Amino acid sequence: MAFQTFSYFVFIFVMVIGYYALPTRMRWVLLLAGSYFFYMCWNATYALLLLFSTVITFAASLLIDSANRKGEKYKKHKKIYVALSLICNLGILFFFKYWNMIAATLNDGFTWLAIPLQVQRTSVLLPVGISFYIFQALGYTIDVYRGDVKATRHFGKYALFVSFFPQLVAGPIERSSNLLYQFDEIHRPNFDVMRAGAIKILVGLIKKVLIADRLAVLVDIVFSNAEQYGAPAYIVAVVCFAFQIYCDFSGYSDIAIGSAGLLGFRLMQNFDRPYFSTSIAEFWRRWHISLSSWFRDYLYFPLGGSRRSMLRWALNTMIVFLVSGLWHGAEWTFVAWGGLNGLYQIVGRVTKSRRDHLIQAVGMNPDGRLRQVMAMFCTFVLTCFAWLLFRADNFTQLQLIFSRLISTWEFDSLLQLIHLVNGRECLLMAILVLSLLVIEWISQKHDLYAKLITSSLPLRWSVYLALMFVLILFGKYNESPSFIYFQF
Amino acid sequence: MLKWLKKALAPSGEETVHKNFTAKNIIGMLCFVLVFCLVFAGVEQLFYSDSLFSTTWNRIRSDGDVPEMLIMGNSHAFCSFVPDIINGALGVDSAVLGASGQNAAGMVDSLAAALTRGKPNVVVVELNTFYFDFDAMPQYHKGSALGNINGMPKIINRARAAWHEIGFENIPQGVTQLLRSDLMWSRWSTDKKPLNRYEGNDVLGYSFMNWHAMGNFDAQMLQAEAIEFSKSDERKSLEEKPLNELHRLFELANQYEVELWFVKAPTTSISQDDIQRLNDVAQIAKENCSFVTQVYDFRQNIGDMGFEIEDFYDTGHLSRQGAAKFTAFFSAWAGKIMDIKPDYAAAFAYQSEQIDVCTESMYRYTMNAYGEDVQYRFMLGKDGKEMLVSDWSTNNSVEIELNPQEADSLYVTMCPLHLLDQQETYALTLPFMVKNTCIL
Repeated sequence: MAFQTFSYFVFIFVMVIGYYALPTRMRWVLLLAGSYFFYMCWNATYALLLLFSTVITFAASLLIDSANRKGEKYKKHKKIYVALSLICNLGILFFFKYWNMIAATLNDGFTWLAIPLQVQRTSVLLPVGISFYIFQALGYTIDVYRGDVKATRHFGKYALFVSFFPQLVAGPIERSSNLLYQFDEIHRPNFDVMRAGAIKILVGLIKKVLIADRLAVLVDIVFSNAEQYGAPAYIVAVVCFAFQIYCDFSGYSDIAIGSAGLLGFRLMQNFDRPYFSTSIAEFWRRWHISLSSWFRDYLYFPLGGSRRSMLRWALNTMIVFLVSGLWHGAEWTFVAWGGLNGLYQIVGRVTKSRRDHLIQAVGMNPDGRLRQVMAMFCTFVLTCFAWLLFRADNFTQLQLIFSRLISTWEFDSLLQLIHLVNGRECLLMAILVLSLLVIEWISQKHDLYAKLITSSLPLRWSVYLALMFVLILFGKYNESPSFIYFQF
Repeated sequence: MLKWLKKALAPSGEETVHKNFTAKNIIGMLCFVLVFCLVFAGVEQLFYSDSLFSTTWNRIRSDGDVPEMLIMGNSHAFCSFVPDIINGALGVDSAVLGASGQNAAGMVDSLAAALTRGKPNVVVVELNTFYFDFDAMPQYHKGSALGNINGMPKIINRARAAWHEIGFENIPQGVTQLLRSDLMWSRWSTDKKPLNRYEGNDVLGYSFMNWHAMGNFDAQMLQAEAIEFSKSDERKSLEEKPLNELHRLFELANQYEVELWFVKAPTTSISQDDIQRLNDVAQIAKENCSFVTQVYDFRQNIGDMGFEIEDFYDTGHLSRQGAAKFTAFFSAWAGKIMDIKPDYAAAFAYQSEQIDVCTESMYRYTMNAYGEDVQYRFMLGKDGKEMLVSDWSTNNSVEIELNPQEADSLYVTMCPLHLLDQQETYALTLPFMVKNTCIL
C-alpha cells in the first residue's frame, strides 16, 4: 500500500476517523492493528519478523531495565542482554539484506583463488522497511541500556512504536524519547493540526509524484543504457538523480510526518533543505537527519567521536560512513559511496583552515553571499559526484560512466536523450526543479506555511486548489510504484 | 490476564492536542470539496487533451481497451498463442505482449507499461524469457553490440558478428524487415511443412531474429523422438538478473493485484538445466507470490495435443498450425480454471475486422491503432519480391487492390516515432491477418 495510491487514502481516512471516534484508551489498539495491516499489505509473512524484532527488543529492554535497578553488580548482565538483542536483530538484517552480497563476494573470491567452494545464495525477498524498524528498535534498547529512557512495560504501545505505520517502511527513524511517550498522550481533533498534516501530505505527494517520478524517467534511461551517453548527458542525469532522490525521500518523509500529524503525533524532521548546505558536514546535518543522528548517537559517539586524536577521529568518521553506506544497500557501490562521503568529511576538516586562509587572501568576505553561493555550488557538485556511486548498478558500470565522463564530451547524445524523453517533459522537469529550489530558498527566511494559513480565505483556497490540480494533471501515476528508499 | 488487559487499556497521559474542531471547520471543509469539484469539472472540460494522458483522470476517462488476458514473454509466447482462438473459444479478449528475443527485464517493463493502461484479469507469462543469461544473450533492446549465443557453432557467431559489422543500416530497411517478417511468419503457413523461402542461404541472409531458424532449416531434420516430455524435480538457481526481474514481476502483481499464470509452451527439446531453472521459478513463485495461481508445463501434453513434427518451426517455436493446436488446448485448460466452457465453433475463424471494402477490387486495411506516437509502414511481400505500399507515417490504414484471402502477404511494421532511428531493434512486423497487440 504505497503512499501515493488511492487505497492508502482510504486507509488513512478510516484510521483518522476511527482514532478520534474511539475512547482514548482504545486508540493504541486501532493504531497497532492498522500498522500491522499496513505492513502486511506488503508481505504478510514478514510481519512475523517485525513481531520477532519487537518481542526481542522489548524483552531485552525489560531485562536491562531490571538490571539497571539492581545496581552495578548487574552491569555485566546488562551488557549480555543488549548484546543478545543486537545480535538477534542485526542477524536478521544480515541474513535478509546482506547474505547474498557476502555470498557473491566470497564466491568471486573462491573462484579467483581457484577454491572449489561455493556459498549458497538465497532467493528470499528483502522485507520492506527492515533497516528502518530494526534500527528504531535497537535505538530504544540502547537508550534503555544507557539509562536515557525507562523501559516501557506496555508491550502494545511498544509494538506500536516499532510498527507505527506512517514511518514504518522508510522512516524517519524515531527515538523512543520522542515517539513512544506520545502514545500516552491524549489527542483531540484539532483543525489546525490536521490542516498542517494534510498540507504536508500534499507537499510530499507533489515532491514524489510530480517531481521525483518525472525525473526518474530520464535518470533510468541514462543509467540503463550507460554506453550510449556522453558526459553532458551524464551530468544532466546525475543532477536529475540528486533531485529525484531528494524529492522521493523527502516527499515520503513529508507524507509520513503529515499522516502522523493528522493523528496528532509529531515526527522528527528528516530533511532540512540539504542542497543549500555550504559544506559536506552541513549536508549530513540536513540530509536524512534521523539516520545520521542515529549513527552519530549510537556509533560515532561510542567510538569516541571527535574527542580523540585527529587520526582516530578520521577513523571513526570513516567507519560511520562506511556502515552508513552499507545500510543503504547490499552492494559495494553503496559502501564506496559511504566511504567517499567519509573522505569528504575528513578532507573538509583537514583543509578547513587553509580554505579559510585562501578566502581571506582573495579578499572574499567569508560570511558574504558570494562565498555562500560558491560553497553551496561546490557542495552540490561533490554530492552529485557521490550520487554517481550511489546510483550505479555496479563497479563495471561506474567505470564505464567515469571513462565516458572524461572522454566523451559530445552533445548529440544529450539532444537524443531530450528527444527520447520529450522536450516538453524536460522543460517541465526544469521548471519544477527550479520552482522547488526557489520555494526552499525563500522558506529559509520566511515561514511560508504561517504566511499561507494567515492569508485570506480566497488566497488560501487558491493555493490549495492550484497544488492539487498541478498534482492531478501532471503527476506520474503507477509508473514508478515505490519509493527509492523502500529498497533499504 | 484480565488485570493485564485492564492495565493495558487504562487511560494515561495528558492532553497535548486540544480539541479545536468546530462545526464551522466542517462546513468549511465541505465547501472546499464542493469548490474543488466545480473547478475540477471546469478544468476537465476546458483542458482535457490526450497530452495529459498520464494523469489519473485521463486514464479513467479514456476508452482504453484492456484485454482480459495478457500474454507475456519472448518469441516462445509470440509464436505459441493465437489470441483469436482464445477469444473465439472462451470469449476472453486476449493480447500477446511478447517480442522476439525479449529478455525478462524487457518483459517486465512491457507489462509495467501495459498495466498503466488498465488491469487485465490474468497475465500469462511464458517462462522461457527467465532462462536468459543476460550476459550471454544479445541485448536486442539495449542497442549494445551483439554477443555470442550460447550453444551456437562458432562459425555462426562469427558470421553474425561480421553481419553486424557490415551493418543492418546498409541494407534497405524494407528488405531487412521483410527478411525478418517473412522468416518469422513462414511459420504461419497453411502448408504442413514450414515455409522456408531462403533455402540454401547461409546465415548472412538472416536478421537477428533468424537464429531461431538455425540456418538452413528443414522440419524433417528434427528427430521425432526429440518430442518427448522430460521431467526433473531438481532445481537450478536462476541467474541473478532474471531472478531480480522475477521478483519485480511479483511486485507488479502485488501492486496491481493481478493474477499470474506461469506456463511453458511446447518445445521439441529443452535442456536439463532449463528444466531445473523452470523448477526454480515455480518454487520461488510458490514461496514469494500468492498471485501466481498457476504454474504449468504444457510440454507434458504434447501427445494429448496431437502434435506432429510439422507443428514445430524449430526446436523452440511452433508453426502456425502448432500454435493453433496449442492455443486450442490452452483455451480448454484456461476454460477449466476460469470456469468457461470453450466454444470451438468460432475458434478457427480468422475474420479480420480491419478490412473494409472500398470498391469492387479495392480494400482498406486498417491496423489497430497503438498510440499517437506509433508509425506504420506497409509492405507487400509476394513470390520473393517486396513492394512498399505506404512508408513510415501515422497512417494505420492503406487502400490497395489485395484480396482479403491473401491478406497475410501484407506486412505492417510498427515503431514508435522516437525510436525510428533504431528501428532494426525496436520495430515489429506483423502480417495483417493476425490480431495482436504490442507495446514497445
